[in-house]
Amino acid sequence: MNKIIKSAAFSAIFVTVLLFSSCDTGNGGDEIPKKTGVLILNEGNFGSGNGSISFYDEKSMTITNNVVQSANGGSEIGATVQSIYQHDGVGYIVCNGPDKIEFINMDDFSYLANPETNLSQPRYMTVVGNKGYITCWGPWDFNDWTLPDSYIAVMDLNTKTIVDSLECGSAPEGIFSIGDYLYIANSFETNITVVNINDLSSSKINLASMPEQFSLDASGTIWVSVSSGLYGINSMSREKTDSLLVSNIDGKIAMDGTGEKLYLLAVEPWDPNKTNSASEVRVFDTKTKTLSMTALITGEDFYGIGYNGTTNKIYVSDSKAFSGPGQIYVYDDQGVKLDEQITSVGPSGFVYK
Amino acid sequence: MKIRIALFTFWMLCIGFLAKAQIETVTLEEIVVKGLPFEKFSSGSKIQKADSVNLELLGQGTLADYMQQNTTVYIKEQGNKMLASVSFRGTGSSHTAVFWSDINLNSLTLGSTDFNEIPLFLFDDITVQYGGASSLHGSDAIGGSIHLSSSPSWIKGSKIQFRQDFGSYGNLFSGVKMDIGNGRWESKTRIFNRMLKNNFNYTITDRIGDKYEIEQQNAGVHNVGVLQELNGKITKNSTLSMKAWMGSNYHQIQPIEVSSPGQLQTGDEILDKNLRLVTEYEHFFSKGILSSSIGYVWDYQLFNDAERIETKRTVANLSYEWIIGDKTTIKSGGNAQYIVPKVWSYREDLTEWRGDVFISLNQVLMKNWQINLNARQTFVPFTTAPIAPSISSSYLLQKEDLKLTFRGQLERSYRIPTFNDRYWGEQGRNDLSSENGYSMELGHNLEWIISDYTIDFDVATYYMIVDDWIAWKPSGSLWRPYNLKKVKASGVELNGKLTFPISHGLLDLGAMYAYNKSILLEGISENDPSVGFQLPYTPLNRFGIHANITYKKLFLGVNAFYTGMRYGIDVINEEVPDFLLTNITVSKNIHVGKQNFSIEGQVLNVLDVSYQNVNRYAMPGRNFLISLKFLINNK
Repeated sequence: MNKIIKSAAFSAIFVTVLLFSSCDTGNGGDEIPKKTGVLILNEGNFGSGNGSISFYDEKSMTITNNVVQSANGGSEIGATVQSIYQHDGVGYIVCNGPDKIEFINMDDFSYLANPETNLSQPRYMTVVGNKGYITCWGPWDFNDWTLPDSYIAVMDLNTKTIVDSLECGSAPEGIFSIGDYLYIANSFETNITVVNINDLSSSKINLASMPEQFSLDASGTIWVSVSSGLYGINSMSREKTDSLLVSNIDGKIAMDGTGEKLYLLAVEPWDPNKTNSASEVRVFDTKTKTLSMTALITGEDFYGIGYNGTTNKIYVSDSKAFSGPGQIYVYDDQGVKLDEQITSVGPSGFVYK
Repeated sequence: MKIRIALFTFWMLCIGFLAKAQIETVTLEEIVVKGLPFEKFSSGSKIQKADSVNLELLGQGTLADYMQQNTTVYIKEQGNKMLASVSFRGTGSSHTAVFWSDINLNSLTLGSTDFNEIPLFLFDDITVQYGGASSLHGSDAIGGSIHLSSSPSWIKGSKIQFRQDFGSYGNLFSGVKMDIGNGRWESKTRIFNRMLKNNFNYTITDRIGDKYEIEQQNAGVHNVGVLQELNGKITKNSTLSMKAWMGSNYHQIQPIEVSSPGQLQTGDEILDKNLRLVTEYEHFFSKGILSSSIGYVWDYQLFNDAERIETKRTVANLSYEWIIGDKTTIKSGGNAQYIVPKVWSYREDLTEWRGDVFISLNQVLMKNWQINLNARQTFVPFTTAPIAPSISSSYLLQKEDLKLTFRGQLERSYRIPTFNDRYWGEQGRNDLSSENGYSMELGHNLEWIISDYTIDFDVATYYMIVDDWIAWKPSGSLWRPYNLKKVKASGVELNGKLTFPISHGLLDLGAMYAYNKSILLEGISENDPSVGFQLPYTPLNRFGIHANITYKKLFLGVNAFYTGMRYGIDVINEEVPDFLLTNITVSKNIHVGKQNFSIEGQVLNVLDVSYQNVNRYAMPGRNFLISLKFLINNK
């Protein structure tokens, strides 16, 4: 019985969850239209307001930088771009310094809204129904660089106003919704906050290390990246089911289109004799729950990862330490490099349209 | 509290000395030292001295204002009167050494100086040396070096100046300069207080194309400074100088422009406090000069009223200059520093000793041809600094009223990694090497007097490589410093000035221009897209012109400065537009007996140009400044 409910629930809500993004609610069937346009989020430098969005066309293999600025008569985002969430044709660009959420039309990148929100260090967003849930770090306590007042802001997407705030742990990063529940990664703590969005009751799932992001696999297990590996959480029982130690994982993950393979960014241990730390992409099989022994892709200074589930392409970004324009590399699902392109400052995330 | 007691004691000591000095009636031979001691060992480098008229006009300003208006050096200012970083010949802010009394003011933790925290009011002289000079000045002098000083005037009597400025955006400056002396002992006191609300308006265009006037928030500035000097000729051939400079510089950190009128502009704030105490002793022998000093520097920074960064250092310098015959001068010496940092991310018991030894030669080869050979070695724990040699030479061609000086220099310079680079948490690295600079420069200076016309024209060309440039980059979630970048800089600087008398006055016309190409040769990693591009925030072109007329007791000055396009951090996609700023100054002097009163009005950014120095940081439009000065002379 449990299994039937689980698979029914899953097929209804299956979404391909990729780092920093979530696709439109899809059918999960074979006829998913190919999304050959890739939005690349360039974070920009801290406090400099030079975050931007680039657009990569998989068909022509060309990149266009600053597409939002170009689509809006030169009016740039003017902030550090933390993440983008895509829902029903709207892109929600979550920004810091100034802290704000820009709504853009995903078809032509034109601005739809720039509501006054008074958010404090917003990070990631998810949408359930007509409500947006935004993880917010809250203000720093500069005495010891802690974040004691983090919260989840609840936005009414019709009125575009903040209507509520929910409690969570310190430094919430990834936020993920399935069924009636929100999962929030408290990245300065070793637990996840789970909130029932109907009665707003909440509970915590304790982990052994600090969580970052979530990704849902084909069996309905939510995989949580933590500073020392992965945890599996059963999305029905909301209980921890698996844990896997992966050394030097840096919390960035991306699920493939089938929900069977999870791609992880990892960094080789620091070696003072080298001028960089080799980065690699490793593959976790969610069915067998095993991690590939060898790296699928190796390179330098990888910063972000994405997977286009409709065209089976792996995207890896290289931030170049935010010292200038960054780069993205495009691979097929076997790890063969197909293309590389120059972006703007600090490319970190990918959204497909 | 301890500091206050120390200051008070020092003050009392000064007054005590002065009282004692005034009782004695002495006549001493004049001890005159012209120029800064290092200048005779850098005959091949371009050295620019502050014009006292310009310095006086900028009396309430900062070193950033001086550099922007009087040199071709670029100052990157992150908002109005906010963090100002210098870029000499395409290098970074930590590639410039800023000296006061042989103390490098650069922060030991960050490696650079905020030029908006150096008030001009405290100093009589500013000497700007272009190009590498580590052989003379040690670490950091890769792109250039700046020397702030006040020479003893050996005043007999007293001179007191009061200054009060009122400017736009709540700009209030009050200052006092007081010199008292008997020809043998003198006390020089400088005190100022400056407040700036900085609530200027700027215009934004929102998402639907509507324009709004926005009042800048969170950009206030409050600076207080005291400089007390006591200079004495303690014997016929020795001098003693005691100096205390205390500064408190608070500023809110101006945030970037808003993108909609309702957006909040909250921000951070920073408070810098510094205390610098120096005692200098010089003894003049018949064939040599012994110079020694001992100093104490306390640098304190408080970020958002919580995070504290503090360093204390004790510095000692000793050198001897031998004058051998008419043609040879050799100077040799060294210094030692003991540093105690207090930074939350450093090891608690961290202390450091470092030291330099150096030798310099000035040799006259032929009449009008001199050559300098200099070398310096710095010793720092856990990191290697190279021996920095330099060869420098000048040749003077003189013909009646024409003086043409050719000069040239080859120099190796270096920068020691900062405390942050070496000791920050577990990421700081004690295996970093120093940054290395190699520079070559050629130039000439023409001074020509044709009847009443004086022409001064200077040309400098340079070529420089800065290697092992330290940059931080992530390895996993931790960032660490590496010796990564390599930069090639080359360019030309022109300075010209023409002065001639008009009836009842003087006309002074000037122009300056710099072309600087600074190309990244090696970046963060092998395929760094920035390689081959001009460095961010390094203009290819800068120029400035000025015209000053003095007519009887009236002064009229117009100047204009152009800063060419700079690339933003994204050197491929982001261009920050060029800007031209024009300022007008009118001043009038009134003498009443020995008293001198002057009133001065300035219109800054006369053309009301809307511009940004650093992308997205608003800058003020046309604004005004009125200065009142009252000078009492009792000589």
